[in-house]
Amino acid sequence: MEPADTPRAPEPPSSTELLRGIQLSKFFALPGGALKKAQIVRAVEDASIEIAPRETVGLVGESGSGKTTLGRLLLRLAEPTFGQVWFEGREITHYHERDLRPLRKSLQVLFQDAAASLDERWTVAEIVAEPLGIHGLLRAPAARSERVVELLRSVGLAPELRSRRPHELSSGQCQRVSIARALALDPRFIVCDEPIAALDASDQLRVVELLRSLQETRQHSYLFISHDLRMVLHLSQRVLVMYAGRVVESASTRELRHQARHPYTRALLNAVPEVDPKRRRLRVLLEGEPPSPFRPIRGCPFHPRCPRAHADPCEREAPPLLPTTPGAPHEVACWFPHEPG
Amino acid sequence: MDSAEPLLSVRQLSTRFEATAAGLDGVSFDVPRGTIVGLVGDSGSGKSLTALSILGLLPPGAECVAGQVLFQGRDLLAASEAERRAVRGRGIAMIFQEPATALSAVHTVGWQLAIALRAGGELGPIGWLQNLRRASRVPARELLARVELPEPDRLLDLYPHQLSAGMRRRVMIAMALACRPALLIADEPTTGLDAPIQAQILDLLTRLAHSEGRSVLFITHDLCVAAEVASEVVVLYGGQVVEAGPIRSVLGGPQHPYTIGLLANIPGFGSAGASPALAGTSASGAASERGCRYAEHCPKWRSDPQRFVRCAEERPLLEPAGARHRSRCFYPQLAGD
Repeated sequence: MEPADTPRAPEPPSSTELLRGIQLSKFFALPGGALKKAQIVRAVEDASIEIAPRETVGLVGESGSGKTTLGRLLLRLAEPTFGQVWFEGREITHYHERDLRPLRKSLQVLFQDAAASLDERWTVAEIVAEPLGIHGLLRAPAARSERVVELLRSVGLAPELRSRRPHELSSGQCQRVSIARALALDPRFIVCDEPIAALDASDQLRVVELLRSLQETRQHSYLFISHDLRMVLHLSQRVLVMYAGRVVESASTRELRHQARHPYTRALLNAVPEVDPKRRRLRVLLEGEPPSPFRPIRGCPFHPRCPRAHADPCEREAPPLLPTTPGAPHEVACWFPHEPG
Repeated sequence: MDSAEPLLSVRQLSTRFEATAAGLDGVSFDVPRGTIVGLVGDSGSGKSLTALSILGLLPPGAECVAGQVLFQGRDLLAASEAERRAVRGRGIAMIFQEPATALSAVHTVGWQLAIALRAGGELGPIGWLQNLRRASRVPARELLARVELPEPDRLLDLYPHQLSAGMRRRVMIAMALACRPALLIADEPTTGLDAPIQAQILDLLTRLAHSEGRSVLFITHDLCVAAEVASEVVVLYGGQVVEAGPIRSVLGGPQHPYTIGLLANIPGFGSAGASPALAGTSASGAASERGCRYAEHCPKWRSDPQRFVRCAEERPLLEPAGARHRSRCFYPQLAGD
């Protein structure tokens, strides 16, 4: 696997981009034992992604498809095996931790289980102010507490909550505290890794709307990772669909909703539960199970579940991600992108 | 037995925790024979507590203080523990929320199914424990085939951690089916699954219910999921039923502002995504001692507390709002505009 040999040569990122991952791969080595062969797990393979300022890019896929790993690669929380990461026109792929530190202010992350990501012995004010302390900002106590109150207000929490501890808060409030913490350093880019999966139905849309309104005032970008296609379509301008570590389709939200080309994307759209019987279509169930990263599939990783699969080339070779028509922003990795099904 | 009589009828069920005021407050609904009833609400609304009250499996400190749970005409709350044990599994079986904790990690799938089959008396007399594995092999394999798991023979010898999340849910369903219950209680059976697998499991449950004439009480926080499978829906808020009725009627013309809020929170539904976010989540229980439990989160009341003064003073009752459609709101027709 030589990502550099693929047809699309890496172009230097243009100035309109905030963040760019070029043909990123992350392989993990599983050591062998007396009875087990050593194995390489390809968590992410040859994934490219661009995120513009103020843009929200959605990333969907089943669990184990490599969404979280791709997010971590972009934040340089994981070292890519191959590929490059560019941020604001600089290649940061091989930055050392001390060089990354000033950039960490600009690159933030929200986790799925907000309550678990907050230290239960700390007060809300301490949690929200911690990033300021790490970066030595607003050293004066008065200025810092003023900033904490302002941050809490901006995420819709009453300032009185600042002396509470995480166990005294609801899961929605915990997620708001972690949003306030992520915003403390005025980041340019936030990876939201399943930020609403642990919330109640009535809280989910509110947190998503909060993320949207914060973006309007603060002008940052999001990578919104979720397995909930409804929310991804609701919030994102563009969507990437991952399957077995690869990006299989990339398009604007509108295009994806109406003109999805990859059979997996179509199955995802079809599987979304619909409350409105008028909009409910005939279900076409996707058969089989998502692939295990420990048992790699030869050829197109989707072919065992694919209604379009042909013996050749699908079972022989994985399709590259190519524009649906030359020059189109809509890309799909399928040998037969124009077939129905 | 009269076939028009519902299989399960929960009447004015109140369950209390010793320590707090939270719990169920006069929950009433029916599960007719051969239908799927969706029980919808946020966490803390009392969904799981309702299921545990029906089964008599309440945690220490919780107690049913009033009401009836009529199953096939018999009140389970008045029954002895031995009678209730006979109902569990054979009469009413539960599909628990989290297979990772509900399945044993140290026993094979086959062994766990064997235990369930033996507990339900499905295997007949077995002399020695050693024979259980062999005696259960055929019925256990049939159970796995019924939940459409591939290679059931091989699966019997696997441990839960060797299965995918979707397969574990199917094993949970197979275990619940082991004793051929008349009623299945499914507690969030698809939460945490990816959409394609969720669709598979919902499809399987629906077909099992319809082909075998089984009733299902389907507990979920996702109104869309309830809409996919259920023909009747019961919406819980703060331990009370706030709206109930046929799914078409409730989703087509929701009466209670909480249900309206839940619907408005579905992206792309109704007002095309630009819906106002729902104000307030689950009730704290102790709040609004006198009035409507939802009042302090209700957009109607908050917009004009003077006009809707009754909401803070009186407790609304669950009243008819259409054919078999009930709602707990003083101003139901105003709630939607």
